[in-house]
Amino acid sequence: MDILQLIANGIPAGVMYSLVALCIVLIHNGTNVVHFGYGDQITFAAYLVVIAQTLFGAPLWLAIASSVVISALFGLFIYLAILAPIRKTPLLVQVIATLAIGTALREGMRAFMGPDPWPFPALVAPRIFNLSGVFITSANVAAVAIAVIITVALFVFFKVSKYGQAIIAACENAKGASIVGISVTKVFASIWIVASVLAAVSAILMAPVVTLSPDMGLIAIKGFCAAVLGGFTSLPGAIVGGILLGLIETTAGYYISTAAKDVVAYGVLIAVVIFMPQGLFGKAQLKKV
Amino acid sequence: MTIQLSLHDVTVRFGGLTAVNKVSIDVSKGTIHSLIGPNGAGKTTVINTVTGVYPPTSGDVLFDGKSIAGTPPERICALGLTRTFQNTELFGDMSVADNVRLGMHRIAPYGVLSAALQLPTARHAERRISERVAELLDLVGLSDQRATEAQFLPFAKMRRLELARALAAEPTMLLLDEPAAGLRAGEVDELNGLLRMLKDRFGMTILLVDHVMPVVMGVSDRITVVNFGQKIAEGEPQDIRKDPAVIAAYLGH
Repeated sequence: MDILQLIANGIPAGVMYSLVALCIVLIHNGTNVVHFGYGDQITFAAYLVVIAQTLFGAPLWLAIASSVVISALFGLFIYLAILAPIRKTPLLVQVIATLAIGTALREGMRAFMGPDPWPFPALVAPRIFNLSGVFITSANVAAVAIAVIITVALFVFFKVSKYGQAIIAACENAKGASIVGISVTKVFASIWIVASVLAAVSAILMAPVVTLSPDMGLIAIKGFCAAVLGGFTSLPGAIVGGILLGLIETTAGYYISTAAKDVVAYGVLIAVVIFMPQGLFGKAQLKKV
Repeated sequence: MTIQLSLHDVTVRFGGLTAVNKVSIDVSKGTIHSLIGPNGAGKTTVINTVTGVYPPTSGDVLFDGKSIAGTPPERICALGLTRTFQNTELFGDMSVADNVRLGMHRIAPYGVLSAALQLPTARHAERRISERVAELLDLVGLSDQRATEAQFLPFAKMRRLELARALAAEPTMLLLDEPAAGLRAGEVDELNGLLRMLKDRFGMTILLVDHVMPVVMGVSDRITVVNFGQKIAEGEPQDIRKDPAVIAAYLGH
């Protein structure tokens, strides 16, 4: 296998990590909370599609649309009902709350949908393109295309629009933001909605490729790795970190063994934390004493 | 003269500590009113209570005749009352111009979609906003640094930027929390000039909290003195200067 094929396999895996990392960083920038239940929110959104299709007989587009809407409302619920009321407690309490949300979702799905994998409908007809010796599947093309569109849309939103700027401002300095008339509560609520909508999008891209079981959300750990790689506070960093992680994994999978993929990925995470804790795009944390 | 901001017997308690005890202050429209007192006298607590950082334990705060006690800061901003902070609360990663632009959050007329599509109305609005940003930066003397990230400004300029951001919201009243602390003599004169101009040219009402006597005595129409959370004197600068209770509070008994 040549290097181009490795890239062609690594990038689609990477963009999934990028999407997850992007949302984890977004939530973290706004509320300082690392959302450990995010992966399970993705699994939940994937199950919503399956439930709408198999239990209610909805067509795929309707199933996807309802999953996006319910996921968004669920994100708003998490913020308003759980995290907003405890926002003044120590950070550890809030982080454990996100762990609890994740566990409740995961075990809830195991209880109601069973521990066995469910088949997930492919978004696009399965095809394999041959670009002069490099093979690319239609699912991967769709994943990259959607991820690119979402990324571009988000960056335009944050750069150009007033509401995007307000979100960035409130993430940086909530006190300053509220004094210029920005409702910090609304900003945080909208962050949770955006992240939860993207959880549904990730679910739809991921579920056909990996196996949809209650434990699918474990893939979010790779999103954390990507976020750490990118510096954990930088949105572009999250994107680059995700793609880099995808490439590293694929390369390790080919040259060492598929079983070594995860070992290498987490090895990179540990190395980054030890030698470059500010990540690729983060700012060095210097504390004046 | 009409009263713009009025505190009625405002008391603020944090647990067992009474930070502000039955303080009443009336600030007339179009005047500069100063609130002074030794460290820990409760001045910042008064400002925080007025701007909705925390509600008063008892008593009431009226702005333009309406009670604003317990109203969140973003709503108070919408009523036309805004402030600066003792240690500045800027958006450090953003440019000087963007900080001022964000000050217009409440009044800027364009939305997400029109801005993204660059519709003519949005472009027109955007041009007006840019002009206004330039005007405000000129007013506080930061025109040369519009592209600088706010975190790299020297402290005195951060203060002025925060003032520009506050003015961008087009308030009718400003609360300034120690705008002169740490300024050099020349900078104090500039600040005095700026405050007087805001009052004379724009009819702004200003409640000023400060320690720096050349500023307080130089610009104030009226001064309220607090100590240990209680009002101990109120009057015009020349009376305050001679007031025995004030001298005792500042020099010790």
